[in-house]
Amino acid sequence: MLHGNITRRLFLGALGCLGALGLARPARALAKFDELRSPDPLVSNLATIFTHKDSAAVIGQEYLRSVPEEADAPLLVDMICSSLPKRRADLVGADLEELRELLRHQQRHDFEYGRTVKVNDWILSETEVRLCALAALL
Amino acid sequence: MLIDARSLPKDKVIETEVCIVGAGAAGIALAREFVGQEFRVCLLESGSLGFEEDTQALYKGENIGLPYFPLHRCRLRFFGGSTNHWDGWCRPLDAIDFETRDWIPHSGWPFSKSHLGPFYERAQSICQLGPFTYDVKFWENPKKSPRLPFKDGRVITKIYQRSPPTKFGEVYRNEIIHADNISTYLYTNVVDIETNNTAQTVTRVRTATLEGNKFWVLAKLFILATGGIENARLLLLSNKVQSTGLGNQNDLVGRFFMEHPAMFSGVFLPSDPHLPLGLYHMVQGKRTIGALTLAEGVLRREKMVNISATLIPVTRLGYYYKTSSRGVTSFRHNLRATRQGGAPDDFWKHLRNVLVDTDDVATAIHGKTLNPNFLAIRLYNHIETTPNPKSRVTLSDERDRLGQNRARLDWRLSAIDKRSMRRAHEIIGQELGRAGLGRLKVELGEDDTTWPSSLKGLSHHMGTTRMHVDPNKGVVDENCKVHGISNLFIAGSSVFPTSGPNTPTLTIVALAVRLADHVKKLVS
Repeated sequence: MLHGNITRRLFLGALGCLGALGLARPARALAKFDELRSPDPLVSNLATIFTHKDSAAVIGQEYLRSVPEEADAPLLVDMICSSLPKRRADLVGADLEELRELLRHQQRHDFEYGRTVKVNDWILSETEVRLCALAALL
Repeated sequence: MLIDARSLPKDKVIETEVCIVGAGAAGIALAREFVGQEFRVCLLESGSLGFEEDTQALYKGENIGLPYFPLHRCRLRFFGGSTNHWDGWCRPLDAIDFETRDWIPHSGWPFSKSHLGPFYERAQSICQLGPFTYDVKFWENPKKSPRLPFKDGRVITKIYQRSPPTKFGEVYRNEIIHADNISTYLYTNVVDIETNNTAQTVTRVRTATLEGNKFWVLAKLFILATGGIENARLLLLSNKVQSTGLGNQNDLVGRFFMEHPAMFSGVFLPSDPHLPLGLYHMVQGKRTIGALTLAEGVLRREKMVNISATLIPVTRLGYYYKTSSRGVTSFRHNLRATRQGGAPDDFWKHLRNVLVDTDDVATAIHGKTLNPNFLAIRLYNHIETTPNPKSRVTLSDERDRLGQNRARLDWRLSAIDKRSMRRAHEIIGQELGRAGLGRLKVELGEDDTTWPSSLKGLSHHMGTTRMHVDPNKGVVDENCKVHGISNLFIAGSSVFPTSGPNTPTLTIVALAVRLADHVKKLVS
């Protein structure tokens, strides 16, 4: 696992420390995202891939609480795209369904090779939690 | 012949060829095999034909280990024994359960599963089970109730069959009491196993009724079949010649107590709410059930004990929270307390939303046919446990109504058990995701020593008179004969050197049938 497990203890600890810190971090990241929104349409494509974006954002927030260094939209997009079989330039032009299929395939690939993360004790693929994190940053 | 021992004259001596102590699954299976033989059999049962509180109270004991049922509530002391309250789920042990595995201390049976195969087949019929096959292909309906389509076979489905459940005391009562060569004595408590002065031969057993009657049974050959706790207790109590207890020259009697730890261990959230899971559903009247397990290769590679997980649908979120661990409850309280701070609300509901978004079928039907009552499936886990000499049955200082020391149970588990369970869930979680079936939450904590509050046993008492060819490592030999004693045998799960994760009754009966064959040769 790239980032190790997010333990219940860490999770509960993070809950206990919520307050200003927990809210401030996504706010800072949101500002960062706004700065970068226009130059890269792939960012918004990836971030809006979920029908239930709010739900994805909840999962993403949880992930980012434990891995705050990834609360950076361009970084997340880079990490997601680096594992996809298409070049980033080709992904920009991909329609939403094609993108979904690529990501779905990548999620299963993550599980196959043990690239998983525990978020709130759920075993999730790295790709999906990063997509959720991206949704959280929007 | 059925005899009420309370009516026997005082100090009567009964002579027979074979004396079986205990009329539970093992004792009755043995007695049935002896019907019509040329030798006499005496079957001694502590209770009567039905439950009686006074007799049952003889099972009371102390518990000083992991939380466990009161010892007089997890077994039954009357004709038929614990088959009077069992669920009936059966499956032979898996082949790997018989092997000596270098990562599991004290593991290994003196023979392989294939040796026990013909006896399992006979036991299958005695337990009134279906065809003797546990091949998933035979039982699944590929269209209506297929097995879960995992890739590469790391996670596989195994089948349990369900006995009606056979209450041995009812189903086989007439066969036994009408047998000319079998005398069944009710209300008969064995209180001492007497030997010659070198403790190499059992000469007789001393018995008592709760009303004060005492009598003796002399036999050529004795078989203890009183259950996984009581077999050890009886040997430890019989300490007149061998002061540490009969057969206990190497301090092994009572040690290696094993039980199947069972608990809710995870939640599986299907990406398709209509995922067909009929093969795995435990519903009344169903004679088979599928459970998840890991392939042998995975167990070897990961150095794990064997596991088995059944799937239980959760139809309401409230049920999930109410029945979940204290950890989840505190998590819920934390959620409430910190909601203002932006904590997640119903995390798994959000996860479900995300999952259905990313699933082909579910995306197509989402918002139209998604069943709001079908939310998740809980994993109910039972695992093999590592044989642990510190997990043991000893004698308590408290005494029962017959003046006998009660049993004291110190049930312990090992770090490898917990690690195996957690790792198994990680693998199952990965494979569920890989196959696009859904996501798994692991509810086992992060350390190897603490257990979820939902931890229970399954009333499977095993290992306390373990089988090994070496007298330094086992209480009985490969024929279930107590090492060092020429005519004392033990039947039942107390002889299991390892438990496997599967229910024990079919193996108990298979071993009893095997022992019966051996005894027939010896006596004739």
